[in-house]
Amino acid sequence: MTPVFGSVSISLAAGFSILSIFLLLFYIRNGDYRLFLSARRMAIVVSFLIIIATFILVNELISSNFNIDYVAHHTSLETPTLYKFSALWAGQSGSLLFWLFILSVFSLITIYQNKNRYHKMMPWILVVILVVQLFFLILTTFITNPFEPTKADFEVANGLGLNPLLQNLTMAIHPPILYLGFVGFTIPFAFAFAALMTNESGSLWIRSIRRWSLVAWLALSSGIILGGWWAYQELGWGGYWAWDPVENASFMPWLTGTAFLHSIIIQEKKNMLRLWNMILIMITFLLTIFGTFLTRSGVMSSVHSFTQSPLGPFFLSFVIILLFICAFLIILNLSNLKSEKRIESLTSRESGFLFNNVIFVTLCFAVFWGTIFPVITEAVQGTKITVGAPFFNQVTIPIGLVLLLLTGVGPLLAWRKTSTENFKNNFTLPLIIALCSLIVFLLIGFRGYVVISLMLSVFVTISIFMEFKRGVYSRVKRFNESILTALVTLIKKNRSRYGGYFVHLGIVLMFIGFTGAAFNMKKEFGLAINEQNHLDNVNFKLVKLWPEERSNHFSWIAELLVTADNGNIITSLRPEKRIYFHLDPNPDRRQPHSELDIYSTMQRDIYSVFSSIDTDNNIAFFQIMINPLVRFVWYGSYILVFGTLIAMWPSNRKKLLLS
Amino acid sequence: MSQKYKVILAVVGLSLISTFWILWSSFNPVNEKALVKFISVGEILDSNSNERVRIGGIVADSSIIISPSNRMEVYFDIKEGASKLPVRFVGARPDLFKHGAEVIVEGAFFNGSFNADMLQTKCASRYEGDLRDAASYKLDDINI
Amino acid sequence: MTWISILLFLMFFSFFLFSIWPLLWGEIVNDKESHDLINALERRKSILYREIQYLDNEYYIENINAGDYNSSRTELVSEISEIIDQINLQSSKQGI
Repeated sequence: MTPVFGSVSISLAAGFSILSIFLLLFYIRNGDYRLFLSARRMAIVVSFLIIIATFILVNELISSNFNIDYVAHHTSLETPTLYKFSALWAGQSGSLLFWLFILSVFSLITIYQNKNRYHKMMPWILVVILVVQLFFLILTTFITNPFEPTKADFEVANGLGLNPLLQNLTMAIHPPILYLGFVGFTIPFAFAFAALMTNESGSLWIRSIRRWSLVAWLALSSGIILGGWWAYQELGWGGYWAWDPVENASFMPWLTGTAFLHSIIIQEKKNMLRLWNMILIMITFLLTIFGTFLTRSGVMSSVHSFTQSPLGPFFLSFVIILLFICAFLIILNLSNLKSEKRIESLTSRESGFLFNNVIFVTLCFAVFWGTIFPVITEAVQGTKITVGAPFFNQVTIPIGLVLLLLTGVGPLLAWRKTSTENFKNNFTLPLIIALCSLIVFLLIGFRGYVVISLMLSVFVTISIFMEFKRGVYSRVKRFNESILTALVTLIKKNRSRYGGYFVHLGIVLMFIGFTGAAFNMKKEFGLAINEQNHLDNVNFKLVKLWPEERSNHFSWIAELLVTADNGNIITSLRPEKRIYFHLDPNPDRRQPHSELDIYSTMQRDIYSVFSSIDTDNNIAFFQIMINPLVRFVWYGSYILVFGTLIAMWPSNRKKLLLS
Repeated sequence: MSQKYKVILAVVGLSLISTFWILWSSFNPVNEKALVKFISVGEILDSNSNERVRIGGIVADSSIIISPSNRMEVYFDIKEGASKLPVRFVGARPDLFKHGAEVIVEGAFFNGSFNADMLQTKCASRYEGDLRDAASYKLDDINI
Repeated sequence: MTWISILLFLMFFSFFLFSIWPLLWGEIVNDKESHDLINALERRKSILYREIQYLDNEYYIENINAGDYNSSRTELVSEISEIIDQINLQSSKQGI
């Protein structure tokens, strides 16, 4: 009975959304306010129905109702409750419903926040949200319905269970956070679309759009980083980023979204770049849908992709239709998007932002190009060419370094134009320190991109500190504050700016971490008890090897004693070789899983994978990696999140006006 | 030249250089692993070239032989349709590597066998599987 | 079984009733768009005020020279006065 209720809810939601879209369009034509009020209520009903449907599915998952196909396919009786819950986004139809759920929550927030604002724009904002909802509702109603009953002529005693790779806390929260980011960009897109349709002046809605974009950006960033962290901790190939199509799918909207967050500042302050911003936010939104297409369609072979699904063509046509509508509307309204002012000088903050944008977009293009290259070559030459990580590294590293350079240069430039004395004041110190560091790095023996990357990291860090120093210094001088008070008030008074600098600092740390990957080392070897082998100056000795039977798997555990060359004990590592479903009568259905162990310091990570075991001779085989500076990536990401939170934190507007 | 044109010129120049760089890189890969042809098992058996390629297929039933002297070394056959390709791989095998698994290998054809230095498995079939199997697999069996 | 269906039907029907309710009301005049315009102008004004603050600060720490400072400041001030005029105009239109 209840599953039917779920099905009915999503169908009804689809019906209500169509009705609401019609009413809104009528309202836009004839202005009868009652139509709008009714349509808005319908939009609320649509979101409520979707939320109800989601709760029903969660309830069925937790109570293991295997009469529902989705429940039977993604959980089993022995799945822990937490992962029964996370199974909501483990499969295709469930994740579409979950996507709708997030969008509906966002929709309700938007409606509530703006019930007395943006009266001209609101109808269009709702139309956009409802159209996106309708698209997903159609998919979940007709194509992959999460409430589909199990097609079986027998009693389904147990479900298939959740992949053990996904039974991990990080993996349970990585998709929803990523989805928050993906879905989050729908709202700024809706605002931008509405502004385009109503020719509303920028100043008011930009604030809302920026807040929403920041929320989406934070979620997207955290989602991407968590994904990398999970891959590093679980997958056992020793890296956090593989340039897999699905990773790229989340990285592309991140790049354009980041560009948008920068250039929207110019629009808010100077009313410039209006057309550019419109294009950017539309591309970002389209890329989120395109990303879902890449994930869901199976066009690209990838560790993430679900097997062949009928959704590909729907997503692709949705993206293409939206692309045409957006392009058409922008061309139609071109005259409204003209900026009044122009950039006055090449060496101004404005053009700094502009260059930053160009680089972000080309970086996005590079990733896009690499991602679809196989499809292009297949169409043109008939041979499918796969694009490996070396290609992406080759293309993106130089572009990324230019971006890093701009991160340092941009904030040092003055608005409108930078005078010569300005240049001298702001650039001398960072440049000198950067050059000194360059010499040091060369003397250490670093070469190539490593040197450039580290030098630029120093440059950017110094320039960020100078920004803080200058701000604090001026407050100390003007208001006689102590340094600490000055710092706190400085940040409080301009959260977005100084929060942004924290984000930059985080990015610099992450770049240092990425640079460390140039020195990664890897070795594979087998060890019997008390044998040892070494990698670089680290020795690995197998001291213990024993089997253990646990509640849902069987495990071989190896204990490796890790020592330095001088005999000092560094740590001991315990990688495991597990077999899930080890009692399954069919050996091919048992699933091995390597649980790796990492010893991590700021300087380097020692990464051990138990890859296989020869039980006859008691020899264990390991894959050992030494990855320098990986911790910088994680610490950098904490600072990035911290900085974004500062920038997002609601400031008291009344207080600001008084001050 | 006015500042306005300088800005436009710089933006256009920057985008052109980067676009050129991206396109140039896609025809001049820095190493052989950057861009690899994906071909079918039949195609590689017909051709005699030993260029680096990527191949996808199913691990043929009871074809996996782990070398007794070096457990890192494995021999197996990849089948795609009727064609079968013997493969040699040295290195850590992915967890899901087993008979019937869908795998992707990368390497070069040499002396009648394919030397792979990359072995990837696709998603576990268990989770796309038939529920009938699950019906015979009850909770009592796995509680230890 | 049946009473659940009836309950569900009632629930969905009430959703429907809830959403079409405003259509049964009498004519409503929507005069809120001009409020939006004033809000937008107020917002623009506060942004410009902050820009002036920022500019003053840059000048104070000698990050910008006197010529640029003066011209930027005059520009911002004139823009603000324009906006204040517009706000007054809009408010008087509404009779506030």
